[in-house]
Amino acid sequence: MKRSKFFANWSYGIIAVFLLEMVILSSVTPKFLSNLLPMTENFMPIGIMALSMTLVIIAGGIDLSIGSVVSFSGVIMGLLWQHGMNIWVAGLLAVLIGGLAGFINGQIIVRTGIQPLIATLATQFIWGSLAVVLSNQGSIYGFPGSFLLLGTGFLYGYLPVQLVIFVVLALLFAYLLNKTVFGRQVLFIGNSESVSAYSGVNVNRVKTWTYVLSGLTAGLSGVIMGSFFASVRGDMGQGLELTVITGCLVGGVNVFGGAGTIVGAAFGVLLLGMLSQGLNFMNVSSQVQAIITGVILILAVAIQQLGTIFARRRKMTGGEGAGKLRGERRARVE
Amino acid sequence: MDILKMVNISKSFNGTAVLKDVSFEVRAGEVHALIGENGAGKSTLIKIAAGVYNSDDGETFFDGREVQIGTPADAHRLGIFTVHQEPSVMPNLSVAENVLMGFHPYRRFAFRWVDKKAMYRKTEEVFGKLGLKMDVRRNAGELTIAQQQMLEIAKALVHDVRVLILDEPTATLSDHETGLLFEIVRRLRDQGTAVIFVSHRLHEVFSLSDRITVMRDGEKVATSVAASLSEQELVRLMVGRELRLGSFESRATNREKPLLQVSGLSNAPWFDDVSFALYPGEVLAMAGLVGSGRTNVAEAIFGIQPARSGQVVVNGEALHMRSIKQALEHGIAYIPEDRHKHGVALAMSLRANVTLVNVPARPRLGCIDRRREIQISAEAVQRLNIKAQGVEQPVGQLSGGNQQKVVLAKWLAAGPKIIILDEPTRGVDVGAKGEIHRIIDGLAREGNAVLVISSDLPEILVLADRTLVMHEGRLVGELHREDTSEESIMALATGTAIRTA
Repeated sequence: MKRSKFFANWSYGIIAVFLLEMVILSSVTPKFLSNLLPMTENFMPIGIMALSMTLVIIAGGIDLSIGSVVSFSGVIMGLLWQHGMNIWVAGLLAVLIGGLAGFINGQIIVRTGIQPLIATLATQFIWGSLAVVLSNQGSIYGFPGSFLLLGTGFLYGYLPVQLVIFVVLALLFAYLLNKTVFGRQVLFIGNSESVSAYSGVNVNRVKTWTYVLSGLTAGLSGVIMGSFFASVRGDMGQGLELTVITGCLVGGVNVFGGAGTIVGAAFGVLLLGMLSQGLNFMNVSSQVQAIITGVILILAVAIQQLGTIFARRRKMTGGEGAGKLRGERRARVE
Repeated sequence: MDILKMVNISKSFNGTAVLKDVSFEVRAGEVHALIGENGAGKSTLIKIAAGVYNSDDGETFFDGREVQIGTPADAHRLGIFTVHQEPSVMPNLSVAENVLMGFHPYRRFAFRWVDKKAMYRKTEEVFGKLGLKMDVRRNAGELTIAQQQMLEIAKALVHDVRVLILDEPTATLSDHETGLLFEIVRRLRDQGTAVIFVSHRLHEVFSLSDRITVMRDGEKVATSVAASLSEQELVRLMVGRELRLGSFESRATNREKPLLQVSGLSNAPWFDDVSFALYPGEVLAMAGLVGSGRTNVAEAIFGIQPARSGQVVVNGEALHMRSIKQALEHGIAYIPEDRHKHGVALAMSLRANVTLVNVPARPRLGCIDRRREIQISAEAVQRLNIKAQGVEQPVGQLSGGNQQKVVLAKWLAAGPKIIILDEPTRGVDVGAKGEIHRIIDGLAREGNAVLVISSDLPEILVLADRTLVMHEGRLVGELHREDTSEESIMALATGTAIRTA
C-alpha cells in the first residue's frame, strides 16, 4: 500500500494503532490481557453512542445533548420502575424517550435553521437539568438482579453482554451507512446539502433521522449504565458527549461532515477506552489520562490531515483533474 | 491622455483562450464602456487590470510607464479600484470602518488605539466629496445595495482613485438609485478620474459613456465614440458572428396537447405573470440577460423556489409546487446552472453521483443494489461518452464538460419526460458542447419535452424550435424558429425592441 493511501484510509491506520496499543499494554501490564473482555464494560455506552454520532457528524451536524439524554432517560426508567412498572418495559420506554429527544433536536435544527452546535447545547442544558430535578438530586437503586445482567452479565461465561450489544449495533450501523439509500443520502448531505436538495433528497428528513438514532442510542446507553451501576442519577451521563465525539474524531470522522466510517469510529473508541483501562492498571491518575487523550486527539487528526495533503498533492501532479477544476471555476467567473 | 493602457493582452485558462491580443485604454476624464455578451472576456480583462488575474502575454502601461499589476494590492497602489455588482462590505462593521479598512487612523499609545473621532471625520469628508450625506456610524449591513456601492466608491476615493472600474453596478439597482450612481460617476469623471463601465444595459451605456469598446469571443471588435453608434449597430457588433455549431433537422412536434403548461406564474420582483406551454418532442429555449428571472422560473416549476401565484400543470394534472418530490414523480428533471453548488458532489464517485436521484435498491431492507448501480453508471458513461478512469473516480477529478455530463446522466437515469436545462454548456469546451447539444436533440426526438435556458445565443439558434425571451422578470416575446436570430433575441432581451416599438 502506498503511503498516501494508507494515511487517506484512516480506518486501516486506526486498527493498526489499536493492535499496536494492545501489544504494548499487555507486555507492560500482565493483568491486562486476562481482563481484556470484561474491561470493555467500562466504556461500551461510549462506543454505542459513537456509532450514531458518526452518522450525525457525517451529515454535517453534531449532537452535544447525548450526555444529558443518557441521564434523562436513565432517570425516567428509574422513576417508572419506582412507580411499579416492569423494569424492562421501563427500559424500553426510556430508549424511546431518548429517540424523542433526538427527534426534537432534529426538528429544531431543520425547522429553525439553528446551528446543530447551538441547538443541541441548549437541549443539553434542558434534559440535564430535568434529569437532576426529576431524580430529586439523589439516586434510584435496587433494580432486580435479572436486569443488572444487561450491564454486567456474560454470554457463555466470557462474552460481556454489553460488548455483544455493541458489536451487533456496530454491524447494523455499518450496514446502514454503507449499504442503504439512507446511508448514501447521509454522505451526500455531508458533502453538499444543496446538491442533495437539488437531486430530490429529503434533506430535512434524513437529518432528523440521524438525530433520532443519536437519541435512541443515548437512551439505550442510559439503560445499560443504569444496569451496570445498579443505580441511576441525574448526572450519570454528564460530559459523555465529548468523550464520544473524541472517539469519532480519533477514528477519522471528518468534523465538517461528508466523510467517516463506522469501523473507524468504533476503533477510535476502543483505542481510547483500552488505553484508559491499561493506564488504570498502571495507577496513572485520570488527570494524566486526560492529558494523554488530548495529545492523541491532536496527533490522530494531524496524521489524517497529512493524509489528505498527500492525496491532494497526488491529484495535482498525477491527474489533470484538480488543476482543471480550479481553472474551470475561474473561467466561469466571466 | 491615457491613464491605463493595456496592449495585446492574452489570457487562457487550461488551454482555452479567453482573451486574444486585446488592447484597451482609458483616458483621464472619460467613461469608457466595455460591452459584450456573457463569455466575451470583459470580466477577465478588468480582472487583469485589477490584479485579480495575471495576463499570459501583453503589456500594461500606467501614466505612460510600463507596470506589473500582479495583485489587487498593486492595483490599489496605482489607484485602480473596482466596484462590483455585489459589493463586498463587512456587514457588522460601521460605514467608517469599512471605508477606511486597513487604514484606520490610530494613536500611538496603548496598542494603537483606533482614533474613532478622526475615523468618522475623515469618512464624512469623503462622502462630502461625493455630495452625499451618510451616517458613517451605522453598520454597513444596514445599507441598501446602492448605498453599499457608494461605500465602495468612497473607499476608492480615500486612496486617490485614478481608474474606477464599475462591473455591472446597476444590475441590482432601481432606476432612481441608478440615476444617483451615474450622477456621482459623472462628477468623478469631471474631476479627472478615468472610469471603465461594464454593463449589459445598452441605454445606460449610451447615457453614461464617452467611448464604447465591444468585445466578442475574447477579442476586441471595435472601439468607437459613443455618439457615433446606434443601439442597433451596437447589438450587431456584439453578436454578429458566423455560426460555427452544426444545426439539427427540424423536429416533429406534437402540438395537440402540451406536456407542461405554465400559467400566470409570479413571484415579483423576480418573475411576473409567466405563461407558456411545452409540447412533447420540442426544444423550447428561454433567453434573457443574467438576472432576468429565467432561473427563478425554472426553479419554481421544479419546486425549489416558491411562486406566489400561478399554476404548473403536467399532463393535465396541477402540481401544488414547493415539492421537488412531486416534480420528480411527474417526470420533471432540472439540471441546474451552478454545477459545483447544485449539480455534483465533487468528492463522491461518478457512480454515486449518477445514481443519486434514484438509488437502485432491493425492496427489502433498503439495501443498495451495487451491481445495478455499476451497470447504470457504466451505461451512462458509454451513452454520454463521459471520459473517466472508471465509475469509481471522484467527479471532482473530471473536466467541466464531463462533470456536466454526469449531472445529465444523473437525471436521465431517473427517466424524466420534461427536462429543464439551465445553461447546459456554460464553462464547457467546444467538443463537449456539441455532444451535449446532440444529447438534448436526441431527448426531444424521443418524445420528451425540453426547456433550455441559455445566454449563449448561437446555442439557442442551433437547438430551439421556439424561443421565449425574458426581460426583467417578464416574458417579452416568443420567437419561432424562422424569426429567431441573435439580433432579434438581443433586441428583446435588452429591452431595445420594447422601447423602439
